[in-house]
Amino acid sequence: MKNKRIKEDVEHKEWEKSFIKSKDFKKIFYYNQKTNVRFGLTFMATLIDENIIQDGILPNLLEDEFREIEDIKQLVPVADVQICDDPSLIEQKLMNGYVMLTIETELKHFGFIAAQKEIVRGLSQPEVEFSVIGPKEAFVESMGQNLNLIRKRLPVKELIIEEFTLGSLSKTSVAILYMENITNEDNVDTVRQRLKNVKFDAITDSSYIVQLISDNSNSPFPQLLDTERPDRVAGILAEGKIAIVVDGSPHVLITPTTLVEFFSSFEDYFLNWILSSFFRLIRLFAVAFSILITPIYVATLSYHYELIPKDLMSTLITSRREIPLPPILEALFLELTIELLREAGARLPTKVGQTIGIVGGIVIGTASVEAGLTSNVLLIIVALAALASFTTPVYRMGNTIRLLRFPFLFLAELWGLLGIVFCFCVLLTHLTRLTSLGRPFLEPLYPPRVVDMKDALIRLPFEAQSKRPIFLRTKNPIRFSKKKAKKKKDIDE
Amino acid sequence: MKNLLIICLMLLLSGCVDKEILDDINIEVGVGYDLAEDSKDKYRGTVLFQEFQPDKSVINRTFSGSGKLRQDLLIDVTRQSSEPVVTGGLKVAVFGPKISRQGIYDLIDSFQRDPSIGARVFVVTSEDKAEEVMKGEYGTRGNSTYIYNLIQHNIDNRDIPKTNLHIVSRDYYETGKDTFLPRIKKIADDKVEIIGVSLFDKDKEVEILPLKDLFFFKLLVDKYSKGNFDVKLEKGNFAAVKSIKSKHKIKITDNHASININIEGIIREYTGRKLTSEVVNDVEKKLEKKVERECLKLLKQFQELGIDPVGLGQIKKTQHRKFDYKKWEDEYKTLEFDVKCNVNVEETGIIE
Repeated sequence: MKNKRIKEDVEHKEWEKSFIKSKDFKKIFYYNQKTNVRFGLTFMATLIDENIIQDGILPNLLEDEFREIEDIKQLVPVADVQICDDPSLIEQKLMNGYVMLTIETELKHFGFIAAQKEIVRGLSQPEVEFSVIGPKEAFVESMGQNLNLIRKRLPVKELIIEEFTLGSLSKTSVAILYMENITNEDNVDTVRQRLKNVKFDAITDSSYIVQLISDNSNSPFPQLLDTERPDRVAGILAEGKIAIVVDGSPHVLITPTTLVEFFSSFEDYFLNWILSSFFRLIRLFAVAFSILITPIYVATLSYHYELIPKDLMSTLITSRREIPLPPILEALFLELTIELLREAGARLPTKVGQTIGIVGGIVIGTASVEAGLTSNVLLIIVALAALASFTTPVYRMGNTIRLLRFPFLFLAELWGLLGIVFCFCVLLTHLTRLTSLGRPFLEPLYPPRVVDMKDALIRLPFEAQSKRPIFLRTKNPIRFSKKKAKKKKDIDE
Repeated sequence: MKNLLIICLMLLLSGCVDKEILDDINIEVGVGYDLAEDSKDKYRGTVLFQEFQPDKSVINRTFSGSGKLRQDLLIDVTRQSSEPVVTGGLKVAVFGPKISRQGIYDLIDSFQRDPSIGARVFVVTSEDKAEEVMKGEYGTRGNSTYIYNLIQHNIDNRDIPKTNLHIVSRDYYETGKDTFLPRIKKIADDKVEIIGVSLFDKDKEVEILPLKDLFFFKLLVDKYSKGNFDVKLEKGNFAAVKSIKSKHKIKITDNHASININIEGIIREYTGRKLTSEVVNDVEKKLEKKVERECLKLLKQFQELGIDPVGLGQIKKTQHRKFDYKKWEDEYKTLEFDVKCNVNVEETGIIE
């Protein structure tokens, strides 16, 4: 009997070799009190919930009549119990938080009992996409929880959740969500194909997927929108777009997407359409302002003094009189200061970060003007430009906007306003060529789609939004029948 | 490879662009031209610069030079200036009395050829030497701003017809229209005033229209949006007509020009007792007659001088298919005019 066990241990050694090196690998043997059957439980202590073993598995296996492996289906009060005879599954199952059960009498069969430890962070408020009005739930790291948040908002059977496992090391679960009766099948196929083609060993966040599956990974523009708001995901699924949920990431990806979507906050849909259109236009103005104002300052002061109004001339000249640097160095100095402040603020804990803001804003700003390193006009311009860049609702796009300023600055220095125009042409060409999941990124501006303008630069009222965006080529382009909606009348008739 | 080439081009070609950093240049904001005393030079020019003090007050700095061309003047001035001289900030060009009699177009032409000079420069003539005008100390915002604003608000609100470099050179090149420029005078070291309008034949000044004629002159050549005129009534009473809006229509048949002037205004001041509707009618009639008489007088005067600031020739050209400018020059001498004016007083103030 003893020899037999040793032999069996030797057989098992092959797959156990690496496991036994780990401290959390546990293999324990027990005897059933009634039948005296010897059985072993193998599990990774760090992945399983010990309470399930203590309360749900062990008492039943020890005290009830337990003879063969098939009995566990009746004895163990756990929903997910599997029996199989394929040793190659052992590693995967153990690593997914299953407890492996072996009986001496049936060495060829293994029972797997689910006992995963679920560490779920409580739901919190969205921090990046905070909105005053509207739901305050944000996604968390657990995929199950996230899917629950979405499914709750779209309780129909047409919402399909397909799951993939990506990453040779991380084995990350990735789910794609779409509406079976709305979403274009081609788009779904493209996403499936791109996810299958992902070759990367460890995918720890959805940001990896953004970079791995985007159409042009050399573009500074993000081509997938990431959001932490379940309501936004539900909204875009109803439009006919596709959502990608990655396990372990509190950001869900949205695709295909367009440039204007990055400048629309989901709060726009909670406000009256006039207000939200106004805010959208302000945001677009802020983007243009943020990219162009410092380069225009450099260009006009270096080349085009004719453009300066005569009343502004004295302000500009007196503020620059004592400054030893040419406009470009002055502007770069301030822009870099602001970037440093932002980077330092982002890296430091919140409370220290606030101090940095004050130190940077007041001390460095005032001091550099007093020291004669920068002019106070430029200080105002750069500060306003930085402020404007923070109005972009999607953080990823905000970073892009801040980066775009620098090529404009350099060309403004080289060629003046002509350089700015040149840079703008390059940017525009790049944007028109850019696609998201094969769909044009600049739509509805280019190619011009007047129908889709209803929810782009401005947002028209919901009554006018009876059709889904046409660039998505949805199976069912009509959201609701306009005629029926009109027929609906108030009660007092 | 292609990208590398583009980057190389960017860096190399940037050397071709002239850099003019705002605080390292001397911006010419005003210029005055006189005839040179030395006979071998043609002009004596005075260039006005602004120097901004740290407390944002402005010091007017003038440099003078002489030469045959405008470029000679700039070269002279550059020799005196501590920073490179650029011309893009030019706002006002003043021509002295002698030079405007002799012809100013080659100078205005050189303004036109300089791409950095805008079209909204005011060209004016002066009673005194232009150098004297430039060397005053007017207002706190600099001489050129002072003169510029003086003319601008008189165009907007008062009796100076619309003018600027663009209009002046258009009038010069147009067949059947002659140039006119506002005329200023330095009355003290810190004051200038508008004293009338200089009328030009081609580019030579031939006549100066005094202030009292300017109202009627503007009715003929431009339209009013905010005019002002006092009407003398019987028994020594006066009525002030304000907020005058005017429009004129000119029709030219073969040898006859009929000019229709439409005036709308508001009576703001009346020295008599009660402003009855008869008085209002009286004001309208008086004003109509006055306008008709004075405008006709002006037109006759222009005819005698052989100039055409109203642009009758140009108007005829637009109305007649076979317009021959040479014929027109003779026709103009015998052209008959009739001026009809229609005044409409819309309001007499809130007291009835």
